Amino acid sequence: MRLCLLWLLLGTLLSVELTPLEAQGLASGPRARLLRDRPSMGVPTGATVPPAAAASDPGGGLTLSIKQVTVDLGSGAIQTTIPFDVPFLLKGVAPKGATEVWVKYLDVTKLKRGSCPQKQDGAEPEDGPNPLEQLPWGADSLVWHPFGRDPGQKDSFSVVVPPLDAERYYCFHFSVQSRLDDTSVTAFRELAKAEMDRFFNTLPTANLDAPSAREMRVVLTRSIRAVLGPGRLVAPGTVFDLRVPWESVKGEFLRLAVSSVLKAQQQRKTTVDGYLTNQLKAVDPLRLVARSKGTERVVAALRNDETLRGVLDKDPAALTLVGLDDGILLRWAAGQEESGPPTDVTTLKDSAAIAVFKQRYDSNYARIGRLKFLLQRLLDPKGAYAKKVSDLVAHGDLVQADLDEARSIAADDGGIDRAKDALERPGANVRLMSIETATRNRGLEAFKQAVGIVALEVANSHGSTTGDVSTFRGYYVSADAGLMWAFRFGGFAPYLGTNFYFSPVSRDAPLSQRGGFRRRFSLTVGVTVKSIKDDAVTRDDLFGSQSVLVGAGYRLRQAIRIGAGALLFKKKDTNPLKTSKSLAADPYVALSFDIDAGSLIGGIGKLFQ
Amino acid sequence: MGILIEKDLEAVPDTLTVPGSTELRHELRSSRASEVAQVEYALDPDHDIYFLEGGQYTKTIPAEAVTVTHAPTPVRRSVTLACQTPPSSIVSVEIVETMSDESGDHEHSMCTVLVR
Repeated sequence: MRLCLLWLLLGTLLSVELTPLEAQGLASGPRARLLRDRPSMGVPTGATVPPAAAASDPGGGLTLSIKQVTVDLGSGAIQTTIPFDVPFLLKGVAPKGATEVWVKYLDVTKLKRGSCPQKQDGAEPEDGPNPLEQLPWGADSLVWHPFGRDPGQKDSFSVVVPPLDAERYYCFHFSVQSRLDDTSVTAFRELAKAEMDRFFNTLPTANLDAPSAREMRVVLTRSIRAVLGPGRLVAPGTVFDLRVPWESVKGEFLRLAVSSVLKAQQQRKTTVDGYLTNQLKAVDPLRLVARSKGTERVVAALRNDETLRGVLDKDPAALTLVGLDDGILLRWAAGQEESGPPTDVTTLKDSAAIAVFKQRYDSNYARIGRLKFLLQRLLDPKGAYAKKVSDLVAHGDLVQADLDEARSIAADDGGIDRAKDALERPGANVRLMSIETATRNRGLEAFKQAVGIVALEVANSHGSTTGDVSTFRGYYVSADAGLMWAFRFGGFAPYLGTNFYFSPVSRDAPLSQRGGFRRRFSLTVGVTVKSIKDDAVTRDDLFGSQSVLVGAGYRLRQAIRIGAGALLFKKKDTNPLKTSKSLAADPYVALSFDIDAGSLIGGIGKLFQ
Repeated sequence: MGILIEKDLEAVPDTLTVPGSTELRHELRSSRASEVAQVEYALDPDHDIYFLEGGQYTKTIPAEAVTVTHAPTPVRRSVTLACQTPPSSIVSVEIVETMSDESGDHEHSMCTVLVR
């Protein structure tokens, strides 16, 4: 028994000294292997699992507590060795306000210097959850949400990382999304609105097919992203999150883009076209009145009479159009101010500023209307001033032809009415233009509210499944206890064995999910627990009361191994005259149990007492 | 004389599955006491959405006479939109309206319809 204990101690010491060649340094290679297709051990990718969560092994019937690894996002440090072959809980402290933590990881063992790769140019941001860092991380991310908790406080996050390979270096990439304060969001939305305004102005039509509409979303999203600034991300789940499928946002996007913005914009374009035509058409009718020399001379003649002059002077603005300068007349037609630099109403984006044009049209329309009223009142042959006008004609102050011309212009459907109509049309156009501009602006306002942004912080962290001296012993060496059957000996013998694997083995990893020959096969060296010495003294123990087993084992289940090999013992010569003993071997088969798991198997230890 | 647009054209409802009907609504007024305007509607010839009028697919609804007064006059017209060779990839169409007054001058308006 003392030799047995000595053997176990030796095995343990031996495993401590073992250091695999692979652990001496990083292998070199041009590419890192992506992990996107790695099985998830039945634990949903991205699920948040409490620390006490456990994974069960349907093959071995064992229940394994999930291991925890802590990362410090500030320093990027993972200070402990990462477990391999088993899922583990990666924990850290999320910054204040964090609403989401995305974790991606990459085997960088074969990358130069085993470092995290740098950003690749030309990658499309919609391809992955982290638009700012398009690296070959693979498609799947582990995601953490503060379910039911206030994201305003610092909080620990945790994600379950699927099993990793042993003796590898990994780069972990963390994208932490956080809420932004209202001021920042409002400021950004104004920028986004300006981008939308610019973008929609480039669209020639509201006739859209599905590919065009999708493309519109992509282009608009990119233009908005262009003004995001560093450390910011379009909020996930919005119409501008290109990871959200088009069909999911199509209705909302078209309502916002077409019904709210594009329709008003196209209506405005139509109206602008009408305005440009109508303001030109207004010039000639206005000029007809303004250039009516007869009317001008009539007005001048009327001033020769004190009474008539008094009537004219009561409303001098009504006479503005008569003899109006051509330059000002053009401004009337366009709704411009009579002096100062002209403004292009078709480019104005402020509906109130456009409405000012409408006010000018109304004002001039009213002036022309009063001109008609004034001339009809003064020149009516049956009116109150008919006698005075006749006297002016009689005294040669007024020519009858001029009087007839002025009366014709002031008549219903005459030149003044045509001038009024001519002004009313562009006036109606700018009124609509003002409404349509306001409607479009409201559409942009509504659209910009659909833009959400979050703060984005990214951090990289290195970790390794390469163990240190203290952990390697468990990777390659295990101890077991079992019963062997030696064929020539013809009996059972309990033994203690030490098993040497050819690749790292995590005994926490269920064989049913992380199996394979290299995780099952081992070389075995052991000693018998009891003496195999026979009564005839033809067979003797190799050392004291123990013999040695040398063979190989194969794990059938998590803790059960079958083995075969040779039992080494001393054989006494059959010649009774000879007393010497020689080394002999007897083939054996064995069934053993991992000693680590032995405590879980009730009663097995009694075999060794 | 002249036809003036008081309210832009709109389609109610403005989202429909084709074939489907919608009502085109707007308000016109005349610069005079009353006049007759000719109103017609058209779709872009380059897409596959049509008006379905009397069982015929057409890109234009011919001019119809509408009496417009000096007071804002509501003008309504029901139309059916359909795709001649479904399914259509069109998601949004413009309906353009042209109004001609008695002097032959034209005014235009338009609206959009989202097609599911």
